[in-house]
Amino acid sequence: MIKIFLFIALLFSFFSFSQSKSEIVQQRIELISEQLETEEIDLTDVIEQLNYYYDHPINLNNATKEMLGALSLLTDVQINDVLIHVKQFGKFISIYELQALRYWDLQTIQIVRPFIRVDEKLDQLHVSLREALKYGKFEIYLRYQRTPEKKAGYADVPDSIKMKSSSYYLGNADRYYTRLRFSYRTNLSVGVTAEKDPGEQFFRGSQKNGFDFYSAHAFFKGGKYLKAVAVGDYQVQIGQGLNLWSGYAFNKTADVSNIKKNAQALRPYTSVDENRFLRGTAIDLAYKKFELTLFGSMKNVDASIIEDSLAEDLEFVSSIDLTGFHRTYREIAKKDVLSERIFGSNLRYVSRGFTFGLAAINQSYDKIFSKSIVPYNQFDFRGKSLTSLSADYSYIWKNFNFFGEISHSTFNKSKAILQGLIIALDSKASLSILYRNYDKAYQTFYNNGFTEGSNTQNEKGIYFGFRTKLSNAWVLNTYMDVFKFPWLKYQVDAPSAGYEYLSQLSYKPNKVMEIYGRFRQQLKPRNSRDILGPITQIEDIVQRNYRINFSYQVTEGVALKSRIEYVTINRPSNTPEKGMIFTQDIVIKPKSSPIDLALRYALFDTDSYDTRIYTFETNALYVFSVPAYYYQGSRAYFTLRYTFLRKCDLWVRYGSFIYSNRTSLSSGAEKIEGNRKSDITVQFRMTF
Amino acid sequence: MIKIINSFFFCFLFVGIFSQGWQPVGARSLSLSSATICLSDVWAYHNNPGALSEIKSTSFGLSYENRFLLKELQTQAFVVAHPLKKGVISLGAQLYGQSLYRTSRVGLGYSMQLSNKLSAGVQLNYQAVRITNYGQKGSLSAEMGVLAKVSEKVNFGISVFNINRAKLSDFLDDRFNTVMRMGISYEISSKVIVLAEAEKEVESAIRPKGAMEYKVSDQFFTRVGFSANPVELTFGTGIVLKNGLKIDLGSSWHQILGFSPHAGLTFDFNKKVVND
Repeated sequence: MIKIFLFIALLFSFFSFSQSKSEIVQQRIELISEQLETEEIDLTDVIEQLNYYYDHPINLNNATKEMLGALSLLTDVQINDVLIHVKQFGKFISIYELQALRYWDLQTIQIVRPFIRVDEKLDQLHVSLREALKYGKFEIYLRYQRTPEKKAGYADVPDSIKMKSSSYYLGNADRYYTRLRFSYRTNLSVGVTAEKDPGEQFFRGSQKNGFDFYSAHAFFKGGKYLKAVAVGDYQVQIGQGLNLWSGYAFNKTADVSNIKKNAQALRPYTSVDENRFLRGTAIDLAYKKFELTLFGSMKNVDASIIEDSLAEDLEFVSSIDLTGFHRTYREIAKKDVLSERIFGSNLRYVSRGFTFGLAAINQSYDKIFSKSIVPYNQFDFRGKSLTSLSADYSYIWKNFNFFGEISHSTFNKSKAILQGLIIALDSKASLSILYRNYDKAYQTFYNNGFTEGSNTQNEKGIYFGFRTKLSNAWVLNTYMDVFKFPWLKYQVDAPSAGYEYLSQLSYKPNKVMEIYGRFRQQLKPRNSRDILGPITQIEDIVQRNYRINFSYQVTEGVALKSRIEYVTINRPSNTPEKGMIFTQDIVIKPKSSPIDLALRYALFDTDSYDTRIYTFETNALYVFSVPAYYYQGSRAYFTLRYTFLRKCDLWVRYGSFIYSNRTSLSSGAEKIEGNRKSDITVQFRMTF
Repeated sequence: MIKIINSFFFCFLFVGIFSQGWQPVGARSLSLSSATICLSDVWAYHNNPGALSEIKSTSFGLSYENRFLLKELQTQAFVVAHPLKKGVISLGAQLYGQSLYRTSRVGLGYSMQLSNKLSAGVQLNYQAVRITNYGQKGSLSAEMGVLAKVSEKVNFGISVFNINRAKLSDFLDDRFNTVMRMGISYEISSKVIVLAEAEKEVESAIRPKGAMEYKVSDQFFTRVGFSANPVELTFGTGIVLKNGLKIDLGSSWHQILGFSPHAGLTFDFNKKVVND
């Protein structure tokens, strides 16, 4: 017996990584989040899940489809491969056996390796509440963030002015975040999260309760018939996201075989996005191969209200505000004025190779939503309530994974269709195809389908993705997405069409070094800047991005990452523009030391804001940003992590942009005099 | 109405690009966005005469394409190739358009292996344009192609159509199009072939193209491809019957102009399909 263990241990060391946990998780996050291109993203869920499975690797011998899907690292065909293997040949004895699987290549094994294990000790699928309470763990997070430079909105003006002008913030420039959570594996989670954004008041004025945003949840999963229960804030994901999908979802990424969404029916909500979640109660029931999720949610949403001048008690909502900011008197006035109600059910049939689901959801507001009509938004939702019905499926036939969803919204009797196919051609190549057709009037409150635009609406398109391993070291990822917008869009005053193409060739000769080159070309129509007469013409904007990225793990404790990216934009109504960034990262993680350090120095030079380049920045755990670098200047930051008393971590981060040829930055309330903009983050974590 | 006008406008754009001389044909090739310069079936006649030297038995093929489902824009083509003691001799033709505007091309080719790593082919074509009320014009052109085996899995090909830049008329120095193509094929496994190609016509932007063919089983193939300038996606399937007859079906798709279906038959004499 000991011999076997030794043997397994040896095999493990063969596959073992010199990279640490955060490194692996971060690489993954970087890969999938990069194309989100926003300053503020909250990927707490994704990272939490990967972190969890890193600490508690899934035992392949009794892994369920759901568990392996939650990793979002494997295609359904690969998952099916594992399940069939266990069924046919019995339990895995060594992780080496994975190489015998038909659709697993060494690279997949390397990526997934940290999150899986193979042994005799089977994971318990059903957990009792008592056990969960007994073995659970507490986690506390305290975070402080601030931009030290003074912004115009924080000017020292009398309150009487602040109460009238929306260019002054009422609160201070600090961002506070705190989170307390008790959890046991993925089975039990009870927690409270609270956040105050910069500019919001704290225990004062409009914020009598302290923080601007509170979120609390209690969640239990593990029963045989009562699969899961959620009280408080939770997330529901259905099908491919056409009907309802709370939380983030990824569309086009450089990981081209990952276009299918793996819905997780019910999950606790732990992020701080102030809108994309459900608040109320939900249960998930299971009987044999059937599962039923029932949920009800009621929460308040920010909105602008117009009172009807004729009927006194009749109020209309003219716009809904999803930013979650309550900094100025005007933003505060919008807070929570609209009440949103969502009821729904989702019935699923789940077997190894086939999943089918039906969902019916009713979503309503307590006031009439009636935004002013302009041509581009004339098909958008107006009214009080809508009901949406959807059906989704996923079917694996040999190495073909067919999936899709069709959703119908009672508003305007519109529908949305998505149909996809992923073929694992063999272990070295995979092809993904995705077709979508969303009506110009299709509407549900929280959808998140595969789109080029920002909403699952007014779009038709087809996507081809192809991934192949040219040899052991070379991998090619490429996709082409061609899309059409049948109706006008914001700043596009005509029906339009475009495409996006990406090709990435990576060379990874060994475990410590990787170089990749990436080319991306996008064609997107926009209104022309040459406005002649009353009709605005649209024009094609061609954007090309070129990137070379080099990463090298010099020693076990030191990693280097360099990147050069160049972008060009051509549009008929403007002179061609270009931009480039040049970044160097150093990550120092000495194995025996309690201190980790991540450093970046970057220079950037872009002709305009349009030619901005987004790049991922490392930050404290659960803090994310993919900010844009634009104009001309330098960017530097350090992130220091100090682990002490075994249970505590402290992160300190300071970053700074120094621009050349600028005397002021941003505009309005965000305006900063001078040419420097910095950011400070301090975070403390304790687990016990 | 605007849609129709638009379509016609675009069609003429395409007419300008494709019609005068060479035109991509062959159903399998069209399903692979014509990135097929390295493929050595009988349709190599219309893509790269250099690749034709690998034909082991007499083959012939017929192909049809209807661009954007407009009856005015149809292409028919055929090809026959016959291996000699040394080299392969071939004959082919294509026809495009309708009675108002028609282009045609017929030609004779010869291809041979120069070494076990290199083959080359030449072709002599007569191509013509006929426009009602304007009459007909034709001229001779030469075509050449080379296929090099870089390794067991990688092929590299080049072809030039209309090397001599044959004239259509003296008016405004109007010439038949000259097209140069360069591409590689890579056999990732026994099931998957990946193709990449760049195509340049004298007066048009370079067209980058990529495609992939997947052998689902010995009898069934699926294909996808894309090309830029203009952007088109292609897809198709191929079925091999027991007697060796190959049926290829597919379509290309343009964002604004829609589908252009194609179909083809190819038959190899003396070639038995192996069932395993």
